[in-house]
Amino acid sequence: MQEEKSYSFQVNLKGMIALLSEHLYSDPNTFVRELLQNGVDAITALKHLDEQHQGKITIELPSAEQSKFIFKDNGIGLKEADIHQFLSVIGESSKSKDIEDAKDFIGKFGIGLLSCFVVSDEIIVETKSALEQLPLRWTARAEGDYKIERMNEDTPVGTRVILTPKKQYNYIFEADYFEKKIKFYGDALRESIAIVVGDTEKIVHKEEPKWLSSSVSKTDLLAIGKELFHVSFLDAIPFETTAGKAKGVLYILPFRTQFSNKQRHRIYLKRMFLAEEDQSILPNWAFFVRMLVNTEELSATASRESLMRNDVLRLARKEIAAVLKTYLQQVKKIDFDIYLRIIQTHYLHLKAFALEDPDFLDIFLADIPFETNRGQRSFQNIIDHQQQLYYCADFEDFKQIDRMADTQGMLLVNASYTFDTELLRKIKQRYSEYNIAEMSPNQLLGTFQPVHENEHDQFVSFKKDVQHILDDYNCQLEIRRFKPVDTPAIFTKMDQNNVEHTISQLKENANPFAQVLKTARPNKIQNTLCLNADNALIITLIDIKDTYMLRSVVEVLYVQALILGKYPIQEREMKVMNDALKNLIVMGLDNFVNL
Amino acid sequence: MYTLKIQKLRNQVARVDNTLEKVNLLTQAIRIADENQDIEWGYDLRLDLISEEIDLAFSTESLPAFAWILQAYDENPELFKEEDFLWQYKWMMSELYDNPDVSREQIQAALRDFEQRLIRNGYGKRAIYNEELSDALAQKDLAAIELALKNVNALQRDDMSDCEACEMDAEVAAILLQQGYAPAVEKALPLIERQFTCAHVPLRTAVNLAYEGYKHGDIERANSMAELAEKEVFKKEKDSAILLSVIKLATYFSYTDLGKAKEWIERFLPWADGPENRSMFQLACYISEAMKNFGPHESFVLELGNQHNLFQGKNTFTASELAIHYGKLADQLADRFDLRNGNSNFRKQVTFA
Repeated sequence: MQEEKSYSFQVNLKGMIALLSEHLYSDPNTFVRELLQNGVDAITALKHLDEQHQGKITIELPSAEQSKFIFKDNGIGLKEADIHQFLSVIGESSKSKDIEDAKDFIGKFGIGLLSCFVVSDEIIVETKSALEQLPLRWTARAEGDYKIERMNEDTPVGTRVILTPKKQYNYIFEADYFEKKIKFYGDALRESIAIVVGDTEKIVHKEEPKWLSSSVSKTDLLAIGKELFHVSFLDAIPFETTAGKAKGVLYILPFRTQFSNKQRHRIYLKRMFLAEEDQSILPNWAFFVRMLVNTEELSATASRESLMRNDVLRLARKEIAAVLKTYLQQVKKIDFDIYLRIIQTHYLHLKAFALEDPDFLDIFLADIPFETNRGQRSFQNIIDHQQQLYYCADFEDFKQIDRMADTQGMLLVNASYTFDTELLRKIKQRYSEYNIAEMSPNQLLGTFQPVHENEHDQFVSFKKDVQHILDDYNCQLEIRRFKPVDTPAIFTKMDQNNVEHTISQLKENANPFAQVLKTARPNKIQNTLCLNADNALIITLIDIKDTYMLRSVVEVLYVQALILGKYPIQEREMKVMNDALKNLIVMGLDNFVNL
Repeated sequence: MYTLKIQKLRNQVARVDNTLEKVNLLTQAIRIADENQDIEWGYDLRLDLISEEIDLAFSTESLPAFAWILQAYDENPELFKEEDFLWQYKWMMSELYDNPDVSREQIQAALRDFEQRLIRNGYGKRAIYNEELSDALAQKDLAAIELALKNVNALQRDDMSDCEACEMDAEVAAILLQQGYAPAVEKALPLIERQFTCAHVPLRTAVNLAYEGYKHGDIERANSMAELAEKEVFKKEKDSAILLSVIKLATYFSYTDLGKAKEWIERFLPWADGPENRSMFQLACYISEAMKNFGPHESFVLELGNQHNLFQGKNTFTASELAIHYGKLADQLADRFDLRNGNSNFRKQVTFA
């Protein structure tokens, strides 16, 4: 048997570089962020050696005189060994190293630099290390080759990255555009940043932002929020976390937001802008908040476009949630006006929050608004009005009985909105002192005064005759006294939940599933028509002995009650109504003729 | 116009991201469609409803909605396409197996009906064997597992088969029972490396391997699987369909990190407010098992809705109260399932838990 030989895979370097540089980053402007990050990390590393060192980044844009883009920092610089190890071996990034290395700027230098290949076919790095004092030039081409040479001329300690912009990306290197990008990515940095075009140098950033300083007034924070997000926020809440060392401001939005809307934030990692759309550091109920935050110790994903979801992030999120919760607890005492505006604007989110957090429910309970048959009222207002709070979980039910409840003097909550029913059930469970009950058309009917026992005899035969008529409509008869007296009859549908409602429409042998459901729970609809014993028409009706006439009037009352209850009127009901009215007219004419 | 109302409700469904609220809005829309005898809206809305409810740990509306859809199609084949609901048929077959009150005869009748519909739409029986395999796995019935696996593998995959990730995960579960831990780990590698993923995988696989790894003394792998499972849970924190996996993971934590186990149980057990079905049985077994690792007086703060089977109008429970409640529940459900299935497969699982 021949000796087996092993071979190494061949790598198409050009393809690899294209893949990494163009597909790892979704935006061609990313190289700006990466260069800034490299520059800032290099300056930070030098500051470890010399605390007094003043970091500066100078960016020379291409002009008529020279076609190169030069990005210069006065940081620690690279040693020859660093260049071989990190700039020239793709895949040799901090991710494969231990935690200490991850804090080392050099390890991150290489992979970020690759993003420059999106805008330039060549990258030149000229560098002199503060530790080695040897000026070096590393030249790499997108084809996949590189060279290192010692420079003849001396350079100051630091690094210069020189690019030759591709034509299609020339617009990025125009002064106005580039300045905006620098401000976008670097507006939280400590280092001074200057842009040079020709002979003109312009300092575009020179000091750290106010919101990161230790003392800053709320007015200033609100002004910063307005400038950044173009929104006049209701309030600004500064915060700091231990986990992830995050520091920033939570802004309360002045307008209602949809649950599904993703808010845009400004998230910085080590003062470098990272993302706008990453929600992961905020609790998921905080839809009404925009955030400005810098974190020193959280990690970014490989593409540096969002934060890494890990345990530290989760802890930081918990701390931010606690800050927001404490704020919401305290704002009522500190600024009642803002508190009311927050409630009026964000009640939906607050309800969701109150459902998740009982402590929070305690604080907001009195002021949580609900829609009632008499307009929007706070929970306290409803409880002050009547000892028992009644609510309808179903909007159709609410529509049917809101007017009727009103005439009985009952305040009725429409709890068909998001979270309302669940919240009222939660309140009922948590606070035994409040009487909270669900109300349905049938239950409301049960609160009406029944006819007195002494009167039963006078209704016996009438009830029998009317019930006989109503059997045709799967309806049972009730006779009670209720207000308003000018309403002769009300119709209520049998209380059915959605499941029962659907099952009631199934035929037993339609399919195996219908069979399972039908055998499990036999179902028959039984609705109710309640006649008002105080109504003049009903009092007259009791004395009618003509069954033909009685049927016609009862059928008219039945359809009228359907309309009053806002139930849909189908062809069958229209026919019943028309036939009944026609019969009444014929009977009226007969009586007239027989006079 | 009622159609406008329906459309508005449907738009609202698209805007909210709370599944319970979506279901609530859809049932309101279904009411309106039914009251106006609009069968086409009733059909579309019910299909939407089933698709939403599948994201919840327990469904209550889907089975009746599906029976209604079948009836609507069979009475009006010219209005709808049978293929529209064949995938939902698979979900509903699971619902039948899940419910201990549905007899084996009723399940068989549904399987026959499903088979007819699959065949006349050009699909094979692999989807049916997928269901039989998952029932056999739930029962931990080795002979039935072997038969179902053989049937599944004898047929080509088609668009009605379970996704590749789910099928492979089912095979991992089968191998765990048939051949033991080590071959199951090997089989699971493509899933753990995320070569095949879906809504449930690799979370389910990672949780199973963390739990089994611990039981087999492979602590290192158990830890890494638990880490992977945790990452997957992070991505789906609001999706209650992960309930059984997170409770099983909490049971694993009860052996390795009691603090974490407690945190997870407090966070996720309130989600277990559904009907008494197969998932509830398994959940009850896991909670009973986890409680054995806590001191009897350890207290758990659980914010429960009044639909929850543990609801007693209070929010603090001791480990011993939870152990008694879920022990009893597992016992009762084992009896009901075994009565239905004519064997003692569920009782054996209670004994092992």
